[in-house]
Amino acid sequence: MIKSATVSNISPDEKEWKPGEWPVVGHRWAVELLSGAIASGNVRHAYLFTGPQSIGKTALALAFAQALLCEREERPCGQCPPCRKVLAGVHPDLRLVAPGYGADAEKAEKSEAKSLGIDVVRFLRGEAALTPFEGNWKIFLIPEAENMTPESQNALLKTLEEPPPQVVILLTALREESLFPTIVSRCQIFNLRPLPALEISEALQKRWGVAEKRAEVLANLSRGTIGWAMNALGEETILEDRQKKLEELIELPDAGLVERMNIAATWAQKPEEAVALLELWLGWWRDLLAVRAEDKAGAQNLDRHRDLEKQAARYSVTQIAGFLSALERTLGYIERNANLRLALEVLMLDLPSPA
Amino acid sequence: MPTILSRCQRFDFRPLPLNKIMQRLKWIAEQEGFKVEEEALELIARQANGSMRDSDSLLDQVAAGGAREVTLAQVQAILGSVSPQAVSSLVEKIASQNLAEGLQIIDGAVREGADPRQLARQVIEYLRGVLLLKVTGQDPPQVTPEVGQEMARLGQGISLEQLSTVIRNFQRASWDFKASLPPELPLELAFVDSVLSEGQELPVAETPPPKKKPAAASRGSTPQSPAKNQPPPPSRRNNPPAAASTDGEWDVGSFELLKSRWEEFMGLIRTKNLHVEALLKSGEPLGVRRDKVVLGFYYPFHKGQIENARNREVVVDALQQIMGRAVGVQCVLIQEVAERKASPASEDPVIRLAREMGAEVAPLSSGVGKEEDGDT
Repeated sequence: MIKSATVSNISPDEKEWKPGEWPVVGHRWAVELLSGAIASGNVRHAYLFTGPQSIGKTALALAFAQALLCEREERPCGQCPPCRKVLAGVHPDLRLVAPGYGADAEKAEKSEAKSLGIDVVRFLRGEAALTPFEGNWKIFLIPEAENMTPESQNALLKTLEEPPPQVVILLTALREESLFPTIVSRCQIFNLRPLPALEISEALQKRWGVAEKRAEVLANLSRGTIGWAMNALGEETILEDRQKKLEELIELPDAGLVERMNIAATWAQKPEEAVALLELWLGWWRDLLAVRAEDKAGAQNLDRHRDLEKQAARYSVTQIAGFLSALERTLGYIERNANLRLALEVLMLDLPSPA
Repeated sequence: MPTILSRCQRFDFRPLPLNKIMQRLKWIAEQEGFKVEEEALELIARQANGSMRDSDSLLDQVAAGGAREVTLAQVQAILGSVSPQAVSSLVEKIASQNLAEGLQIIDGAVREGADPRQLARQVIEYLRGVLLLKVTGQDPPQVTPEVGQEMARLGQGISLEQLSTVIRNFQRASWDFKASLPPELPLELAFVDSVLSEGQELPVAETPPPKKKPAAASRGSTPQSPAKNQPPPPSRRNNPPAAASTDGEWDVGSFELLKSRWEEFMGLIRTKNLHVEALLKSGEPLGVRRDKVVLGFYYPFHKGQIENARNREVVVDALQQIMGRAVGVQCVLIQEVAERKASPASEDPVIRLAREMGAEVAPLSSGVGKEEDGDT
């Protein structure tokens, strides 16, 4: 059963729903292809949506499912019973295949596993063999399909090779390489790319009534991911926090080595925050590169343009590119579970002292 | 298991060639009753990397919308690839070392919905064409004469060595992907690295070399630690040190000649004067400038000895024999090393850190073990 917050997040207010409009921000090309496929009866049995986090993969997959199940001419209408059921997350022919799917409720509560084991896929195959309850389709949505174990991917392969009629399997993944190539080559792939900042800013203003200025700043910082922007909407202080952190980061290069080591030690105590800080820092240095190379339009932290120019002038392009690589490496180390403090200390040594 | 393999007849399938795939796709389109633009067909076939099913399903995906004709633009929208013009102008920016405009092209493409990794793949494909053209002198297959000309023109401004470095840079960007990074960052870094490796001069106006603290200064002039994990730009290795290279008039041809015959030169010196040979061994040739061979030394003692008139004569004589013309000799101290001598702590960030924490670097000659300064 779908119990996803994403649905209500992305869908516009029900009253304002224009029939036929997909509850998705951006990705026009994908929406056009998918709705064209429904209209011309060329629906395939497996689709894979890839792209960075919070970009709207699951939202698009859900919208596609809704459009498939909708009863009216202008799909999705948002008003017919199937549409309402999909939006409420209770449509019997739309299954969310997440950890705990297929297990009884009590067991699902307890399990904290992130991976999708073979029992999940076995259950899916059992359900896929049944005819749909209401509509013409039986749809399975597998978000974060990279969490499938190798065994369950192989088990799913069987279903993909000989799909029961009326079954549509929707997968989402960060990238196609994280799944078996045998699975990928049996899916239609929709690789979603970051949205233009303008599109996000417009969506924020039109659909969620965000003030223009705030919408612009959020859109610029979102890196083209609508999900991030929406999260930021919920947290009032997110921009202020960001400014405060940025302040600290801007001054860091002037700190002596001893001080830097102390900072690394402090950061290492809170691993999750450290990664967020590094990402923020990465954004900052990318802007420095843009400003230093005189590609001013490329900067994201537009509100701090003076600071950017001041700091950029103190480094050479080689230094900036070098430190960007160092940041990239460090994030890679952390992703692979390196000793956080050690990784940060090395990074601090790599931080070039400004002229 | 080899035991199983040896009991089977074995057929190894290889990726299908591009034109075979294109033919097949065309046939499918005819059977299904829709048209496909030639360029679109090629892009689909290319994308599949020799896999028939992948290209099949891509074609199916484009055609599923029910359109009568499949256009290049539609395929590009699905793949997130950019126009060939954008690719060639990005390559042009590498050749002309224009950082700002190159970054703008990347930025613009990504803003319009291009997939950075796809763009990296396209750049590689294009550079491969340039490489083939440069080596074989023939247009690569599946390339129009106009594109071929463009490739030939770009190929002239870029050496084979640089070309392979650039291709490697972009190759890394085409598979580098971390969940926490902006997806276009690897591509941007590949571009910046490629531009920077083109020549040792930075393409943007540099601020005057940093001179504040000795520590900062040495980091500024020799960006060793940030650049440590990147492949060293090939040009830097065989060029004179950056410090000396700014005042021009380097005669690269003569220097190449000298380097290729350096062994011979040393042999010649050996027959003349063993002492001079030993002295020369503690230095190295840096370049030829204004009819003078520039010799670099790591220590003032060696430099001074060679500058001594008698020894110098030996060197000049031998050089004349080797290079076939009269040349002078200029001796310089190799800067980096000299700097390192002046402030030993600036060399290693760990030692620098130790110093800031109050450690003292004990000279080795005093008989104290080097471990002594590592007690922090």
